[in-house]
Amino acid sequence: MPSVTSLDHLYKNLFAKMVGGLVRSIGIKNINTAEDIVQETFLAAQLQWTKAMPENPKAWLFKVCKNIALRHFKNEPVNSNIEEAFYIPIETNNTQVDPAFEMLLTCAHPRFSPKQQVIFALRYSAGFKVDQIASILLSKPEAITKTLQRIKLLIKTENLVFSPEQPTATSQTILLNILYLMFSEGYKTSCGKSILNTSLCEDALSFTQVILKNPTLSTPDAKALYALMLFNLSRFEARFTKEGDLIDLEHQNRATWNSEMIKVASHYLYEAKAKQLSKYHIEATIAYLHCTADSFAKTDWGKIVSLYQQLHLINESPFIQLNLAISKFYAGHLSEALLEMNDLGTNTFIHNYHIYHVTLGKILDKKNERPLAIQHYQKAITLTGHQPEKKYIQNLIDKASYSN
Amino acid sequence: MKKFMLLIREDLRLLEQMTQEQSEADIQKMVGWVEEITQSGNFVQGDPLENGMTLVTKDEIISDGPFIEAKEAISGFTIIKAESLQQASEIASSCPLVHTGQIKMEVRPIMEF
Repeated sequence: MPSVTSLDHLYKNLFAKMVGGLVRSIGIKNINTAEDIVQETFLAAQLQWTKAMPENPKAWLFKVCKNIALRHFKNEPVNSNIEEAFYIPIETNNTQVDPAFEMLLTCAHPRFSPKQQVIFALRYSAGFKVDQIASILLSKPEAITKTLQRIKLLIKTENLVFSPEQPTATSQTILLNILYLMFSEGYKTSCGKSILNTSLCEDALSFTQVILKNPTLSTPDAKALYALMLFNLSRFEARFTKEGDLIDLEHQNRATWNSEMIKVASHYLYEAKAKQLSKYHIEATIAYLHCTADSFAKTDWGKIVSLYQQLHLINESPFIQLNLAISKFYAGHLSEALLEMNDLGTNTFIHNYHIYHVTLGKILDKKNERPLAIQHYQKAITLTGHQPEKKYIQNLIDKASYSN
Repeated sequence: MKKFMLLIREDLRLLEQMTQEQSEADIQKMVGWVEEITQSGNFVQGDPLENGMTLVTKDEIISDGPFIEAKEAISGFTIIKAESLQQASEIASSCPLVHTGQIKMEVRPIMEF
């Protein structure tokens, strides 16, 4: 009898490969049909495996999927392509491109918004189900379905030309951005350390590995992104207590950081050397400085300040300016940090951003202006809807009140 | 990438009637969206506008707006970077307040020389 988990596991691993394999033979315009065929396959598995479990479940799925597809396209010319397409995913032939990766290249099209690309990639490259995507992105399943339909409509009606074989410079940039965003969604602390999050980070990492193995795609930017992911992953677990409470960088147990991973990441960052630095280079260098510092206090904050300044030049935004202010604060430039914060406070968005108030609270706390610090912490609590963050800030309030 | 201005239009009369909680909740939604499009490398700048306005013409300065027949007026703006007008529009349509129908966005490419 198939356990639900094993079938779910196969679905997660094979859905994108099977849809991608079908799309390869019947064309991206028929993606809906491809998806229907794969869904029908898994439905058949669910029904039949309760009677008799096949010896090789994976081969069974591919065979049934192929048969359904052949039946569906019985008298159509694409029929002959289907046999061929299905030969590939089953065989572990390294020279063949993974169809799930081809789907990723497909959505790396400048016609789509980054959000649409991420949602498409989560569904058709990483194989997450719609309700899982909704929970990862803190959205509603209906909204995810709507976005997927919109993308598929654009593919159909606008006759977009996709050539996964020859990615352009633009699509390469977009590709890295999709993986960066996928990873960031998985890494966000607001959703806690759920299995979905870990799995999403791993998916982004393994697609980046595919890129690094491809001579055309393996650019310095790609290597820097890979290094950034590894630096962050090295302390994935250290960010939470056993109970799932948040631990900030200052209070994480550095001994639990994965030192092997940090070594590999440092190697890739070194390999990523380039004349023109991308945001991945800068973010990875910041992560490198954190990961290799003996303690929070011994971190090279001065260097981090200048890196955030560089990042601000590449991608000017109040959120990066906020990080700049935070790094100035830890570098010991208290008044400079406050100036930066006052400047930021006039921005409506930042003024309603919980991290702004947490930061201001911490700066004021440090200056022994505790009542004012507590006011900002309290404002921050009202601005976040995420329980672990609320709890973390409440903790700051308790500490500040206690020291009064 | 090119720059685009998103002109946010909404019903100013509804906006005036909003309670503080409602308008704070809306701002929260916008903050989440701005954070999202910052991370994806698209956000440049933006601000909501206050309700007061005047209309300055050759002959006079009119001070009791809104001045157009429709009850909608510009209530804010956002500048983003995007590959094309089409992509800019898809980004604009990802704004949660657009989803609820509360605001509309006019997407205009900023002229470059």
